[in-house]
Amino acid sequence: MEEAILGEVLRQARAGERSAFAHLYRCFHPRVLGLCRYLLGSKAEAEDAASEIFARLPDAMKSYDRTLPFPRWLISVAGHYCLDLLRRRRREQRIFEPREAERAEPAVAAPSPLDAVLLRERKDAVRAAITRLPEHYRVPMVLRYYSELSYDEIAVRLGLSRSHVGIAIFRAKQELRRALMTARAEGHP
Amino acid sequence: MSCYSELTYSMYADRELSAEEAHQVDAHLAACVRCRALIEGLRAENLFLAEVMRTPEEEPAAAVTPARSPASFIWVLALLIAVAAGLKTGAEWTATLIQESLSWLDPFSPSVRWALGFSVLNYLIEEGVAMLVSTLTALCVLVFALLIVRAGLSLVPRRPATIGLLVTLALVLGLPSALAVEKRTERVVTIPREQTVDDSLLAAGDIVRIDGTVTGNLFAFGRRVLVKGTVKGDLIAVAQTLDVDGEVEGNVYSFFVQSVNIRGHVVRGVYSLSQYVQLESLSQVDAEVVAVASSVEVRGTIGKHLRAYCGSLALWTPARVGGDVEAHVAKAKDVFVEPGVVVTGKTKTFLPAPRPSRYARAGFYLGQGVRLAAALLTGLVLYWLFPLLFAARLEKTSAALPALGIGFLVLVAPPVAAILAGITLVGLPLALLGLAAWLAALYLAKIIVAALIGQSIRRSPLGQPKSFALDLLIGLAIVFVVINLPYLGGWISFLVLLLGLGLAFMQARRHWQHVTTPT
Repeated sequence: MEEAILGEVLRQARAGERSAFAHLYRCFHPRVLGLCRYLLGSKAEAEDAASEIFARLPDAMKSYDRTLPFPRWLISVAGHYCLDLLRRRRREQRIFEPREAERAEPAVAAPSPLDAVLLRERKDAVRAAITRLPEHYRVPMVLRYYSELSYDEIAVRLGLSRSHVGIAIFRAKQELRRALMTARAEGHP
Repeated sequence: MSCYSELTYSMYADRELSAEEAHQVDAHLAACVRCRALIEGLRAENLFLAEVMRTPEEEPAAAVTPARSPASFIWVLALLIAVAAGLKTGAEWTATLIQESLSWLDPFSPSVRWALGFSVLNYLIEEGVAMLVSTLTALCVLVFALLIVRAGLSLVPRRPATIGLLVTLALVLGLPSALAVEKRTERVVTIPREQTVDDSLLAAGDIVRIDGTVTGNLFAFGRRVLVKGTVKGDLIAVAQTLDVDGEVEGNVYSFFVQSVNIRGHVVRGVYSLSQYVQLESLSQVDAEVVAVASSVEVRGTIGKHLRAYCGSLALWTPARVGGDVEAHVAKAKDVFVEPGVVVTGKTKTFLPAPRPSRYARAGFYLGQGVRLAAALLTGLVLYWLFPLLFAARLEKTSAALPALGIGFLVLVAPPVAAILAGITLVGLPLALLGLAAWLAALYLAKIIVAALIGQSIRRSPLGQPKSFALDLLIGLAIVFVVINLPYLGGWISFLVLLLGLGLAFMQARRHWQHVTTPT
């Protein structure tokens, strides 16, 4: 959306104009839904979550820091909401308890990075593989590359140490490579 | 120095190593080609992952704008195919026929309206031959045929026989060339004095001249149609000038003719939709004469009634009319009957009755009601298809002015662009499509304004389809009342049109920018 128009829409939204929220919904719903989908792993849950996030938006707008670009802020709000959901789902305060195996340096014999050029035609397969990753790998990776959070920010949100975040993201990508290579070897996406 | 672990490189690619660690890795990378390649691979992978995740899947995108059901597409497609097939069949046959016979048409001829129509037709036929010829001409031929039927109906309101014949004519135009009519298309079609065409004749050319005999009907299309011989059936002519010096034993039907001159003998009636109709002093028409024309002059003999719907009617001696003279003219002085002219029946002049105020007629309200319902339905469909179109807002009253200005441009520019595009052959279909879209936009403009009015009155939130229908209904009711106000209604209607076009254009532009430049 054009900066000026977005600014105007946000002004209306802060003034409580409901049509402005409808506009924001139309513009940003797909992105919020995408994030929810990757974080929660289930389509139905993601849709519910995205609806809830937009339903809470009028209240949340009051805490909107105008120095932050709105899309980034909204994605961050959505991320928080999804993490809360995940926590509640597990009934644990720290679901991302570092596992023993991950404390150690991983073995080097792992698949090499995905060839982005080759995968370009198979985006759907990659998306599907991401949603199938185990939660403790998937969530840090999505926060890193979708929400563009730093390791430190992710660590704070997930209650992990910085190095664990690094390991989780590294493992997530390894798993992803493995899943995609297996799929390719089996001849279907 | 040995290589670092992949984990370290992963964090390095994410720019998450401490400055000191990063510095050490940098030093190693400067020396190790393999690790440099690995880092590049990791970075490309990161970019790719971010891109994949941020590109929305097809499904959520579709959920925002509801997709049309495939069934409707199938029906539309079927309809299009059926119509196109019908048009193509008709066009292939008529294209060759009309091409030659209408080449004489001049766009600036005095019989402006028809001639212009013909010119467009002619242009389409001549220029479009290579490409879209069949479809486009078919469209024109269809319009042409409809005009004939329509004109025929208004000409002779209650003559089933004539109507039947007109329908037959339309059918003849549409039937394949295997029809049992002799067909001749040349620059000059002549039937010499000694020749007899023992059948109906369809003659099309620059000049059609009949000196001999046609035992059936004669269908003549051309710049000049001249009948000096005998036509035993009916004469149906579409031409610039039609001269009947010989004998027609049936009826004479002439359409879109600039001037009809009858000097000979017509055993039955004359029905004419022309600019000038003249029955010269030696002419004789045994049955009635019905003419829709700008000027009708009679010096000859008419066996039965004379009915003229015309700008002026003049009967000069030695004219004789065996029945009534009915003149439908604008003013009484438009009818002139020279003393000495014999009219056996009565001479009646019909002046247009002063129209009662449209507000006094129930039909007016019924019509508006139907229109309102249609507009409401269209608006709802439009909202379903393009909800964003209705997101237009006027923040201030002054914002309406630029919208009006843009609306004016949107009103004026497309026809000009269409004409320019139409000049080039390739642009022709584009021009037609553009014009169609433009016409649709003209209709939709008021609906958009109505929705805006309804929403602003009820201050209802956008994006709640339940209340949208009510908003639209209220808005439409207001718009319909306002544009039908006496004296001012026309102007208001025009402005509403401009405003709607402007708003729609601005909104479409916004949306387009939003689509092309994602934030």
